[in-house]
Amino acid sequence: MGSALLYEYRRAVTLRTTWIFLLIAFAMGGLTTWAQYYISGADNGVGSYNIGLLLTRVTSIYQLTVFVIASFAALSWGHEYRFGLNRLTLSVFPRRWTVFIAKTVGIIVFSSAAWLTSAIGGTLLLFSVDSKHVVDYSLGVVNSTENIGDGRDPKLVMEHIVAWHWLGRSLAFVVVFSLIVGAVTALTRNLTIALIVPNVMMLFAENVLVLVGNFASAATANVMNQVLPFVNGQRFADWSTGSAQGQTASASVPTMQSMTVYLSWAMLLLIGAGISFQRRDA
Amino acid sequence: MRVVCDRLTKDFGNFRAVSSLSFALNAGEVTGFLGPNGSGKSTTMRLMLGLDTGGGSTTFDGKSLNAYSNPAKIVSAHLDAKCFHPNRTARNHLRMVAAASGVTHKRVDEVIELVGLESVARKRPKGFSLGMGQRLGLASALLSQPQVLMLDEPANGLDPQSIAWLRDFVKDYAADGKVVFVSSHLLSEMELLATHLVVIGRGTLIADESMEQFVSRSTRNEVFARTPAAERLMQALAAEGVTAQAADGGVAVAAASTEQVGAIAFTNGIELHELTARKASLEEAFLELTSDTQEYTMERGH
Repeated sequence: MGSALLYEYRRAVTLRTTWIFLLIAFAMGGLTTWAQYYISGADNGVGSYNIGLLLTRVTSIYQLTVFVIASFAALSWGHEYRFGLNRLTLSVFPRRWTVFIAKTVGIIVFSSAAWLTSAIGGTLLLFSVDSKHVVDYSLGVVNSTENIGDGRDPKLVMEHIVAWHWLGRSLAFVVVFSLIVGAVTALTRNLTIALIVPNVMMLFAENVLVLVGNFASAATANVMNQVLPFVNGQRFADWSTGSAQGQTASASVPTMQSMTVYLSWAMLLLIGAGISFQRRDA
Repeated sequence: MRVVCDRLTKDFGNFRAVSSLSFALNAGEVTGFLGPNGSGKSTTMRLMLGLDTGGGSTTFDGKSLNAYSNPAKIVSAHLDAKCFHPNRTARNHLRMVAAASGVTHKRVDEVIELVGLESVARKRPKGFSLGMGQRLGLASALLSQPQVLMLDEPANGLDPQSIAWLRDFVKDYAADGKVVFVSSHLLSEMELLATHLVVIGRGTLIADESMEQFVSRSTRNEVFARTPAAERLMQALAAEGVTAQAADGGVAVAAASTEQVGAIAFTNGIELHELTARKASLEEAFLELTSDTQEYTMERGH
């Protein structure tokens, strides 16, 4: 497994595309945060700043940057078939599950790294345009209990406001989305389909399905809301469905169910892709 | 190392591309793999490597490839001259494969030098010619110095000097106690390269024998006799039950030895100016022995 992971690492880092995607993710993180800052943050003034808002700004890039980040997953599999590299790969690694697992790990690592890059891009830009307010408030949360008002240790307070969840949720959404795109590529062996279908599903098709379901009956729409992957994925990650600072443990239960649905789809597709990769000709 | 293919079978829908193919490859030999277009050569190679799924098995010293901890040290293949990402430099491509094979970067530089790609090692191969692509593919197959080297049409696109280099290299590699399995359509080249042949047609085995045995099966092997009394010699041969016909200003005798023809001429007092055994070329033997198994043929005279 070690050499398969090393192979995957070398495959990724020796391609310029990988670095270009990271750069785009960084730029998009910055640009999206900058846009949000001007649309919402600037109007709210100093008082509106808090860790939750900061984090949601930085991490809410997922819908725009996920396309870029997930492209890596598509290329990870797509290049194998497009350039016949799969024959080379599998002649070195006849145990196909090894290759499949290494690729899956590679996708998780890269999408996490790209998400982090994007978040750093957003944070840096936010700091560069309004560092005083952001830093002031950040320091205020850590150093003073006054802002929170419950007199507890600041670190515990940080947990209490749940804001950090949004980092994890955004990251989870991006990683799972990348795994879905990777699985679709492995299943279809078609880069174009793998890039277009999940994004179209997320941005348009599922919304249309829910809308059509609404016309049929509220129950139908409800079922669709319960089972469609990206509706659930976005519900899990969407900062607007529950404000970070107001989120409570009980309110997060439905979104955890959404994550379960979203993750189940990803696992289903991954298992299908794994079996297909195992059985089909290279 | 001994490679044994046992009843390899591959179906594409209702079409049987490879049908219960069994043969063995031995160390120290260059085995040529011949067959008309569409006969299943590449599919067979992929089956041997486990790239295609199908029936039968291939063992390497009695074990499947999966049983080895580092399969790249056992077998390595060059199946396609364009098997690389066009934007990854040649050196990086090889370093990637090296990572998989547990091979050092020093070895990467060695094979780059070996196949003569030093000047383009840092270039992206999207502009590589077919010949340079072949060299890169070959370099990648040679990285791990495998016990079994499989090459699918490695001479395609190579210039005469490179073909001569490839021939010498492959022969030396086999002479080192390794197994070399090469498919090629360049029969004249194969004649110089291989000592053993596996010939297939329509996915079935036609021959698994030495080059000499295969060529000797051709009816194009003949004895040529140049004589001022061609008509008399043909009559004398016919009387002994030997078929002969006039050709090239002499007599061509099929299925007979020079000793036989010489004795008949001597007995009948016929003067001979030349008596030569003409061996069929590999190409002649191949065309003759695979004529019934050509999947795709062209009309002659157009």
